[in-house]
Amino acid sequence: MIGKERDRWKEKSVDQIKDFISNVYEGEVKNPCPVDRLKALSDTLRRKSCGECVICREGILQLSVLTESITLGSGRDGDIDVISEISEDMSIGSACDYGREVGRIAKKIIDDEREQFERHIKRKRCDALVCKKFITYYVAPETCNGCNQCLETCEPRSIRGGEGLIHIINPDSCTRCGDCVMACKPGAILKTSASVPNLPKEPVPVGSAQLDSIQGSLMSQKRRRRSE
Amino acid sequence: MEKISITIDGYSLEVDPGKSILNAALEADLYIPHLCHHPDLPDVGECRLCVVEIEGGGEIRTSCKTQVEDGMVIHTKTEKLNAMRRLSMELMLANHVDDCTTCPKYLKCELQSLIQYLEVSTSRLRRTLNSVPVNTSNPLFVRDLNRCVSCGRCVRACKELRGVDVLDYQMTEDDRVMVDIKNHHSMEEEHCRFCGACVEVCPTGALQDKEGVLKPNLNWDLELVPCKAECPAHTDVPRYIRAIKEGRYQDAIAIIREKAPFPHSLGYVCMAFCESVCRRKEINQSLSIRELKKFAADKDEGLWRERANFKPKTGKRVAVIGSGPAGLTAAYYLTKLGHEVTVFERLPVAGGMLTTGIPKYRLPREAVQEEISEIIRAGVTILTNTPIESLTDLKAKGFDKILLAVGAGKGNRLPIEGADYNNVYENIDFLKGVSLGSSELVGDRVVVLGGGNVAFDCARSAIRLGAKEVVIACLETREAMTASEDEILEGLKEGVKLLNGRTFLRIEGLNDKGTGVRCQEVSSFTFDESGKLQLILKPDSEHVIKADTIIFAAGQKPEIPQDWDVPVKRGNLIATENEIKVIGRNDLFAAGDAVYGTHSVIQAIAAGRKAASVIGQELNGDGDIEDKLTNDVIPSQYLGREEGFLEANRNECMDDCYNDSSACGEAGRCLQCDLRTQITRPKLWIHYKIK
Ligand SMILES: Cc1cc2nc3c(=O)[nH]c(=O)nc-3n(C[C@H](O)[C@H](O)[C@H](O)COP(=O)(O)OP(=O)(O)OC[C@H]3O[C@@H](n4cnc5c(N)ncnc54)[C@H](O)[C@@H]3O)c2cc1C
Ligand code: SF4
Ligand code: SF4
Ligand code: SF4
Ligand code: SF4
Ligand code: SF4
Ligand code: SF4
Repeated sequence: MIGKERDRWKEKSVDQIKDFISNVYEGEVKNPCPVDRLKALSDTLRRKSCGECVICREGILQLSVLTESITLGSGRDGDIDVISEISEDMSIGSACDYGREVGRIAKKIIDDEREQFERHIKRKRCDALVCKKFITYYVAPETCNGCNQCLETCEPRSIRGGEGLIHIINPDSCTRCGDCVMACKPGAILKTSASVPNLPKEPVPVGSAQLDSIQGSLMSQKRRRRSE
Repeated sequence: MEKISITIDGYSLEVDPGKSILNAALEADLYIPHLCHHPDLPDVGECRLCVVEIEGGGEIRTSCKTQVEDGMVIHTKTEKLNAMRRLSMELMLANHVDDCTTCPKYLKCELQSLIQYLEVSTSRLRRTLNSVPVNTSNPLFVRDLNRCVSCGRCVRACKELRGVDVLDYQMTEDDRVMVDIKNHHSMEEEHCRFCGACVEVCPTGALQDKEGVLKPNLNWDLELVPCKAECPAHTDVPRYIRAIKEGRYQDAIAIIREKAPFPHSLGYVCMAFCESVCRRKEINQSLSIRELKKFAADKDEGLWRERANFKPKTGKRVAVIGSGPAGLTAAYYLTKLGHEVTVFERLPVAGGMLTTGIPKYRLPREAVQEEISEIIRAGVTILTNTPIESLTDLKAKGFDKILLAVGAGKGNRLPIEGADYNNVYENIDFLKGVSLGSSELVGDRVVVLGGGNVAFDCARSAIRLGAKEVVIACLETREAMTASEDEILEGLKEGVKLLNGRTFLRIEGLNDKGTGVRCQEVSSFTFDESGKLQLILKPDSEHVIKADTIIFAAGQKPEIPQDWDVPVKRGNLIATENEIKVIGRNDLFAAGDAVYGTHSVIQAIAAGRKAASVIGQELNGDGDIEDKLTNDVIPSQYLGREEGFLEANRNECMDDCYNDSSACGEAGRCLQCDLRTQITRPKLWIHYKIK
């Protein structure tokens, strides 16, 4: 087995290093979620560290593992401080400009977007609706026209419904791939990082579900059950 | 060189320019944490533990990579620095197994000691362990990279110190970087020299010697060099082998002579305990250490004599009884310590078993004679044909101390009927007779009773004396015989017949002559709790082996004259304290086979050295018998890559002795285990004054 080539940044110029890193950064700059952005950046950049100094080799890896764990909902108190400390130490303590530059970028992200990181960790919310773990896809009952397109595209078969029925997404098996969003002409499929509005329990005919009537029927169901 | 002044944590130091801050601090007994720094390796500044702040210097720097400058004011333990170090350590530990107690390096580990110093735990971080299987696929090392912290010391040791370049930072499948064998090859494929430098410098339990290769020894230099440790006299094997390799033959013989005055004899008959533990045998076969010794002894021009250290005369007199290797070695070193030594030997020749036990065909007498002459030249008086019957009389002749080195020279005769017929001999007497030239000893048919090396010496001697049929009969099976495989094969080749699994009932005879040995076959035997032999006999298997000469080769024990009045223990061995001082006597000492039973020439030499040293001390000296017979040649730490090094097979010596090129070739197979002892062992923080 022949190993892959390792990059040797120590032998490169500052400009070469900066060019490389800003290219990677450009690729992610449009990513609206800062946690996911740092995750993607650190995952790419850790693979390019020459790996000789601890803070760069283990630091970027730790950033990548940490941010991934936050996007998966396993963020912990103190994570932000760790990210901040690692990126600062990288920026002052790496042996070459590669580690220092990565540290600077990471530090800027965590400093500027501290609040977003906190929302991910404490409230399990991704306001940019990027971190799949925190978002739910649902069919807005008032917009769905019962075309059945989404049901057909959904690979894990998480959508129930049929011609002329309001479709329903099962959040437990939905993989948040977003394919249905593309397929849905009227744009009935929405995502949210907050709680999902009240939806029909079963596919009901299009038009039969006004928001308040659903509410009503739900309430009456509940009431009925209670009175039994 | 002009010194410059620096201040570290408030301590003013005067240091040589050009030094790193780290070295300046460590030399001043001021600790700065470090892990990838090793005193013998170039610094790389990768562990980031040695960070320091320099007043007015702006950024934080690694002290191993920063040179001292005049007037520098350096801080090593600020809060920021401590926090940085802790984080670096936490990051390393996130990618490290967490159970120290199961680690072979537990309590000897630099990393563990640093963890303690920095007081870190991994709890804040996510685990990033790069689990890899423990690699034991090479013959000598265990590579458990789950304990590696990628400090790169092994990489630098192999590349910079040894020039072999087997190890490097490598990318894994998952694009992580780990320290491994280049190209993820096997060590053999990358031409590792198995020098052990990488293991030596590894601060963690990641690189270890395989269990059993090195025997624990309080003396680290011996632990690392098993051949030297196993040699009873601790002959510096790798040093003389290197001298042979480099064509410095006079150095080689001088090095051997630093520990033993019988190098040539040893070259012929040493039991070579060293070879049985040689690390090279894990790769293919052990070094031919004994043959190389013979080669060096063959080249001896005596240049070492000029350097032999003779201390001024003390006027003290020592008597040595017995001129075997133990007695003569002790006599030689006692003479060099300035004492007047007389050796008393009951036989007409000096040398003990070297001249009257071990047969000539294995040990040419000229080799022994020259070595004895050398001892006489050093000033030892040897009186042959002088048996000592009374120690009191001897003492009365004015000896301050007496050394009993009488060997184990009395053969055991089995207590069976007919054992005293006059053509029945004991091993030692028989061999002595052969050595002293009485060839009328054997008839046509010779039976030797016993299955050890001595039995083969008797049998093969009998063949050389003209016996037509020689039989070795013994209790043990062929596999369980104590004789060495070489001896058995040589014996068979020469026509010796083996009869295994026999017990001896009696010796049949006529008048005063034995005519045969009545035997019975044994299907198995054991020893009961009290050590008594229990036989299970094959029924109806009695038979007689016809013989004109019968030789008992059933072990031997010391012969202690009645009048001596020295304490003896089981096997008639002289009872001693510490294997030297005769119990209850302050003027009597004992050494060699007489103390522990028949062992080996080199053990006798080691015992003789120890006796000389102890007696020397008792005579109010320092007892220091160490010699320095050649200049130290500091061996090169550089090995380089060498294709074919691992494949080279042991060069068996076909002729009498190696020639220059075969000796050089064989010497070139040595792994030079001693090079590792030259590597500095780093101090731990505990050992610094200012921590
Ligand atoms: C047949 C045989 C083969 C061997 N082969 C090997 C071998 O191949 N390799 C190896 O390493 N070892 C071998 N050994 C073992 C080795 O020879 C001995 O361990 C070694 O010689 C012991 O040395 P020593 O000085 O203690 O005793 P010895 O060599 O036995 O010398 C003792 C001397 O003391 C003398 N003596 C005894 N009593 C008195 C007295 N009262 N007055 C004066 N002198 C006395 C004896 O005559 C003898 O010369 C062999 C041994 C035997 C018997
Ligand atoms: S900062 Fe260190 S590990 Fe990272 S690329 Fe540079 S030298 Fe290599
Ligand atoms: S997001 Fe993907 S998995 Fe989820 S419902 Fe739509 S198509 Fe199906
Ligand atoms: S290498 Fe050291 S720190 Fe690691 S487990 Fe072993 S003893 Fe502990
Ligand atoms: S194996 Fe040992 S010496 Fe080599 S990098 Fe790992 S910890 Fe350092
Ligand atoms: S040559 Fe020596 S230092 Fe290099 S890998 Fe082999 S044993 Fe280790
Ligand atoms: S390889 Fe050389 S140094 Fe190592 S044990 Fe064998 S002879 Fe001794």
